[in-house]
Amino acid sequence: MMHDFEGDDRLNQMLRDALQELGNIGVAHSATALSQILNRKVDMSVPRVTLVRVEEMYKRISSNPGEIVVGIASETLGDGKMDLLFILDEASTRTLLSALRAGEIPPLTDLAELDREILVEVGNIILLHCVSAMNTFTGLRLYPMPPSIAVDMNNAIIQHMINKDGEYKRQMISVEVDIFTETMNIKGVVFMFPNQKELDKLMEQLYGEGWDVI
Amino acid sequence: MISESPESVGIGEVKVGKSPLSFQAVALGSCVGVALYDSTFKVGGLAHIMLPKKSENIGQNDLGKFADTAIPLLVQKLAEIGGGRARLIAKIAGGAKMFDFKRMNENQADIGSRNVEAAKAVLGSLGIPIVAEEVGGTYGRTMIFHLASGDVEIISLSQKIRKII
Repeated sequence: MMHDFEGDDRLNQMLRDALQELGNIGVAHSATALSQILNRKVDMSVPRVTLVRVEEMYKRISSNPGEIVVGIASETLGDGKMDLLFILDEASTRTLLSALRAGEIPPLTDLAELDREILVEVGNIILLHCVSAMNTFTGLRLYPMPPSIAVDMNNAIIQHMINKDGEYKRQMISVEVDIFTETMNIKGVVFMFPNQKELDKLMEQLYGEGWDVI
Repeated sequence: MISESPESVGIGEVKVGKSPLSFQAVALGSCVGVALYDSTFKVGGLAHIMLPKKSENIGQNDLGKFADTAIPLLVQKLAEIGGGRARLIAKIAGGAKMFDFKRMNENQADIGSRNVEAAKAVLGSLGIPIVAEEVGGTYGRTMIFHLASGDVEIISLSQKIRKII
């Protein structure tokens, strides 16, 4: 059954609460894993979790669609197919790399293979925890595939993920988070592209089976 | 002569105009930009296409998103400002594969190449020759279309390319 989350304010609010919980758990677990690889205490802000329409997303990036960013993307197998994308802006990428290795950081367009692998690993940790939060919440079993990286223009990366299956996707979950240590501040965004099945399961888990007839 | 800053053609938009205007589609990834030009009257237009085929339940406002509806729309808009269909030539760019996923379904081509293929098929069926292309690969492109000359500039940050087709 399709639920009209957008046309129904009550459902919309319920879904927003569900997504916020999902984001909180994904982020909390990522922080623990990141402190292990960074070898220092890592704090993460309460994430800003929103369900965004594709049109709204394009509007958001339209001020600087050609901005160079790092994108780490994956897709899941198992009970559902969900696409995932983690985006780091240039400043955050440089900060993160400086924390993980010695030496000068080159311009993003000239990153060495090792730097790209480091970034994939960090992206992988964050995406894994987001999927695992989704699994915990929904009871679905989604398995993320090994991620792939692109260092390129913001719009080109996001647009590829929106269109990649040749379908006209209309909405995505955006989880914006700040990652802090004593000396650094990194901003990242995770995009999840769930289908209706995942959204419905999420609601069922939080509000019980009759959530749609309350 | 280079006119002032180009007018932006966002995702799913189709815009037409006359020299000395110029249009740009910023950061094409798997999307395809189709530039059509009538050099006699120096009129042309640009479509920023997302997907190969129109799906069901698509409204009138979304026609610019799909190759099979955006290109005919572009041709029609050009005709309205004097662009003769028999004189039109095409230059296309984009259709990259930004991420290399290990796909389960290996038979399914990536969306970038499907977009390019669809754009070529539609142009072919309309009898519009493609005189230049800068498509495929694994990198994003910005495409700037100068109506004064018919030149299309391609800029890629990650590959550090800047060239004219």
